[in-house]
Formats: sequence, C-alpha cells, structure tokens
Amino acid sequence: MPDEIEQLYDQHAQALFAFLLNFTRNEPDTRDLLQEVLIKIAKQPGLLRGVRNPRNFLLRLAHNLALDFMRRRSALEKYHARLADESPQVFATNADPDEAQFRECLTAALGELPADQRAVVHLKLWEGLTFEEIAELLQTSPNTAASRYRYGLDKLRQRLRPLYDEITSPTK
Amino acid sequence: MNEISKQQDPFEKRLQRERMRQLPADWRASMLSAARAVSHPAAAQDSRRLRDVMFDLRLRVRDLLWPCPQAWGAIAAVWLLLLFLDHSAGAGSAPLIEPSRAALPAMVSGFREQQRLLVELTGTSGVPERPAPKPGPSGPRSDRKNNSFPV
Repeated sequence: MPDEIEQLYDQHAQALFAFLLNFTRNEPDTRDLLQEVLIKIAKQPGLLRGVRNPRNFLLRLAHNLALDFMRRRSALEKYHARLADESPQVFATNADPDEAQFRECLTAALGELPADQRAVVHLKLWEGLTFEEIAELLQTSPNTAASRYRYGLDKLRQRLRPLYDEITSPTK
Repeated sequence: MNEISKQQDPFEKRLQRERMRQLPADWRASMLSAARAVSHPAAAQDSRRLRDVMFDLRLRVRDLLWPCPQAWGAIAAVWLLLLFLDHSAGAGSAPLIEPSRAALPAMVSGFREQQRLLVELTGTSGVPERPAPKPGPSGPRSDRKNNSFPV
C-alpha cells in the first residue's frame, strides 16, 4: 500500500493541491486537507478499488472534506468573511508584469465567487472535466453545474474585462 | 451543455492558459510518511480475520443457546458451582493426606528403633510379659457358686 500511496501522490497531488487551494483560498488549510485525503486512502485502500477515474474520485473526496472543513470553520469564525481578505498565490509566478497583474486580478476575482461556482470553474477550466463529470464529482446535476459555470465565468469576465482588453488589444 | 464546452470563447481560452501554482516539493516526504504511519495492511487484515472468527463463534453460540438460553445458562451456572466446590474441596484435603502418607515410613522406622533400644537396655524382648492367667475355676459355671460361697 505505501507504494500505491506514493504513486497516487505523484499522479494526483498537484491537481488536488490546485483545486483545494482555489477552493479554500488558504495554504495551511489546503495542506491539512490534502493530508487528510491521503490518510483516508491509506486507512481504507479499498476505497479506490473498482474506481474508473481515480483523479475524479480523489477530487470528489477532497471537495467533500473541504466542504466539511469549511462548515466547521464557518461556524467557528465566519470563515467566508475571512476568505475575502485572503489572497493566496493560486497561480504560478510570471516574470511579465502584465501577466503577473492579470493573474493577481484573476486570483482576486476567483476569491469573490461563491465556493460552488469557483469549484465548477476550476474543474472546467483547469481540470478539463465535462459538466457530467463535474456534476458527478460535486454531487449535483449537469444543468446546475453548467449554470454555475456560466454565472461564474460571467462574473470573471465582468471583473477582468478592462485588464483583459488591455492585454489582448492589438496595440500591445 | 456540451455546446458550452465546445464553444469556448477567447476569454475562456485565455484563462485556461494560466498555469496553476506548483505543489510545494517539501510536502511530499512529510505527507507520505504520515500516510504510511496509518497504513498497516497486515495488522488490519489480522484484526479483520479475528473479528470474522469472533462473529462466527458468536453466531454458533447463539444458535446453540437460542431455543432456551435461560436453561443453558442455569446448567452452566450449576457446572461452574460444582467445579468450584470440587476444586475447593480438593484444595482443602490435599495437605492433610499428603504429609501423613509421607510420614508413615518414618514413623514406623522410629518406632522400630525405639523398640531395639529398649531391648538392648532391658535385655528383654521389649514387649512386657503378660502375667500368667490365674487358673480359673474348672467345671461348669453352675458349680462355681457352690465352691466360692460355702453355705
């Protein structure tokens, strides 16, 4: 089992990290949750038996753990209010100042989305999942997933439009 | 729905190009060691097997006792009581028997030694001689009265 855990980590930890960081907006929480996912699998190796897509299964597990975690935290210290003030580094650094600014604004805009919209946007854009897969993962309907994506994307577009236009303008 | 996924506008494509931050490399060792610490497949299998055996045993016992559990319980209690009584009786009598059996040859030899010393000291056989029985009156008992008490 230890070798399987190692293999699992090498194959999926990066995706889990990105998803959890985008979802929780907090690096220590992301670390705790990622550790929790691994420990859960290590304790119950049978969980992955017969699973067609381990990546989606692990993302679903991570999402459920993160929801529980956020509910606990929310009750304790108004977690969502604290999230608005936090701006973790979700994206890789970039030497180009325009790109860096765009990423910074994107991070902030993502932080303003509700958590369920943020999860769908992340899974669609950066995991490349279909709405059916997202719906299965988030335990909702494909239509709900699609509408959450549309709303989330519209908000991002609205928020980033000036900067996006500036970056992509022909004069640039 | 599928149309939405197929018809990606330039803004979506632009967002998709953004690379997510890399997972910190120093997390790997600590996370894997924590995961290894909780995974003990052999121990888990053993405990599972033991649990199965215990469950099977409990079912068998339940099937055996099910028709009348009170009666079986009473019989078991009587057996336990008998065992306890037997054990306590055995434990009480054993010290009395064992020393007497062990001391018997020693006592016999001690007695013989004393007898031998007595013979040496007295020059007799050691056994006190009985006085010779007085010659009793002869004849029938009916005649004795006349001989003893002359009228």
